[in-house]
Amino acid sequence: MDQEIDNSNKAPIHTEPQTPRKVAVNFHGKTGEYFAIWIVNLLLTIVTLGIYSAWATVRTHRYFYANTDIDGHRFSYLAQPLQILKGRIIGVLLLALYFLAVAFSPLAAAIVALVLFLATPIFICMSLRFRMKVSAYRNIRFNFTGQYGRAFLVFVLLPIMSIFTLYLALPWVLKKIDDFIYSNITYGDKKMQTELATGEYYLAAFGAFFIGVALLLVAIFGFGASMSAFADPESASQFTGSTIIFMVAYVLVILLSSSFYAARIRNHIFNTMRLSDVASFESNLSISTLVWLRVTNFLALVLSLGFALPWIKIRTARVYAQVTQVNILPGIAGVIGQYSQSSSAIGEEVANIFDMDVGLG
Amino acid sequence: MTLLTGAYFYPAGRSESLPVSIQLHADAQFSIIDNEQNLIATTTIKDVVVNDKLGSIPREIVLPDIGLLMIDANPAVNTWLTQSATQSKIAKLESNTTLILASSILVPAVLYLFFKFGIPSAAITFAEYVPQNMVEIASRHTLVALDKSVLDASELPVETQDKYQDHWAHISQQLNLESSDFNIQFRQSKTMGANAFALPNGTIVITDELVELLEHNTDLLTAILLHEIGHVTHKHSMRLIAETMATSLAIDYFFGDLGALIEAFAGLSNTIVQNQFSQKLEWEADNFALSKIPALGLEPDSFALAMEKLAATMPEESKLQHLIQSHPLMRERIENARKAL
Repeated sequence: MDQEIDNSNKAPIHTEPQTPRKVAVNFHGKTGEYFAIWIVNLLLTIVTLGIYSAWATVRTHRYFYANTDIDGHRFSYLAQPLQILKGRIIGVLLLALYFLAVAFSPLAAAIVALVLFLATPIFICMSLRFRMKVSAYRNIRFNFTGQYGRAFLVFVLLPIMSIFTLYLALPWVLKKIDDFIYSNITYGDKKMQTELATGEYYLAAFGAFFIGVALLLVAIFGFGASMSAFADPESASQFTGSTIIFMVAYVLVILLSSSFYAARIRNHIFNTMRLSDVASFESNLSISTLVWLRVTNFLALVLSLGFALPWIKIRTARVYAQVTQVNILPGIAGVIGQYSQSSSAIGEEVANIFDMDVGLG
Repeated sequence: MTLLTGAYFYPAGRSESLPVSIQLHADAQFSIIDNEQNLIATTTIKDVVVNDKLGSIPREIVLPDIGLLMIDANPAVNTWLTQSATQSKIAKLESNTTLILASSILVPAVLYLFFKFGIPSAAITFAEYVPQNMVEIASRHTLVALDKSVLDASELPVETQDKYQDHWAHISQQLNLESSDFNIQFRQSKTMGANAFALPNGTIVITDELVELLEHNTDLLTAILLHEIGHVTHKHSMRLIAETMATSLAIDYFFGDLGALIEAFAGLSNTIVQNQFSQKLEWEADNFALSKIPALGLEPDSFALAMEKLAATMPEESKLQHLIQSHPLMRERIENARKAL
């Protein structure tokens, strides 16, 4: 190889200011550009009977990662299409197996469903590990170190046990799940630290629950009254009209209460987690922002018959970037890659047979 | 000699970053130089891995064992990197206006044809190849499950049951069907009410409630039975399974991995598409029954009358409802049956 390294430059490179500073997360993706990528890749996927979708997925993720910058540095997405394809083929086979079991024998379906349910923690861990390993920032990969046993506890045992508390323990279980996910993320040799508060999960979950119940009662009494005033028992379209209004009201209630939970918890996670001496995070996603984003996304998708999907994905990424800040700490340049023996994150062969994301998406 | 500025160099294995410039030499050689004019590395474009161009994202250049170079994708940079052997043609396609416009028309058109014709015809093929013993097992397990949940033993007197069985054995002879292909059973079901359904192995279940509703009118019951026989002879169960599976997979494939509301949209489209399939099969079964009625010497309007009696037990339907139910509107089925007279 015709390469040489200038050894006179041995001193550590200090280009980073030593004081902590708060920086924005910027998203540079453009709707027009992404639409072109999306529609052409969709055509290629159809023409190849779905095979190309693995390559399309890699291109999509690369586009979104590389357009996200923190402090002037872009993220990298490093998955190989064949890894994605492998996970997808397994996902399709599992789903087909389940479908066939349902179709051919209720008993077989129950067995397959049980096995898949018990295997869920394994799939979740594999998927998280894969997604983290193929993400890099400043040429350092992320990783996920969660173990199956612990995953089985938080994703299967605790949720089942919470049923016996009449779901009163569910917010605590949700906290345990988030704790498991976030405290097992590593960036190079640094581990993410979380300080999630159980109280915040109770506030968010019960808040969401009471908002849902209150709005549903208002909807039932409000619409019920106005319906009976105008009701025309002869007209069948009246029936459909009120059914549709009720369905819309129901969707809106779910939307409001789930957004209340999602926004609060996202802010809480970001505001409390930190990579020691490397970075801490801030999130100020307001509930109204999230509700507006979701409502307009849904309407745009339906009214455009799916064609607005690229616009939706770009503006969603932009909104999430806008509400997020990162405090860069002095240790940012001192992170050591876990695979420091090999060249660089990109192009590095860290995949093994279990590195995949089983699923269809 | 060209100088490309504004690049970042990330040394391998560490999170350090360094603003650098890239100096291009002859023979595809280039050097990386930091802001103090220190040389970091010299190599050739053949010895590095250049990631595919994609939109306007910064270009990534991997120097094995040395580090990563990232530089904004300006025209000079893109021209330089075309020398790399690892470039694919995809980025060219993604910026080809003609192809983008063509894709915008072709994608919806092809997807429509795929759902409208591709999946149904694949389903017919699938139905032909399902082994008979699997069909047998599936049907038996389903009937056992139904018997344990929503079905009870029939309370029709044995003589009445035998009378119908004899009559229908005669009918199936007239239709040139093997009597062993069909197995008619009576059940009581408060949950299902007046109903009849067919399992793929030819088991046809008729509820006591249906017999009551049709007031033991043999012609009307036979008309309903013909509809169910239509389902069996056209292997509708297997076709529906194949169609449901293929549509769900396809929709998950194209719309999967999205937010919750968007998934709700995908789920809704899935339901609507599947209901279209299932309604098509109902029409086929209806028309099968209608085509056989004259030759069998039943009262010509038997099927229409039976449908009318069933419709009377159901709430009134609205026009939008055909999107959310698996059966066609009763009103239209009755119209169709009357038209056949």
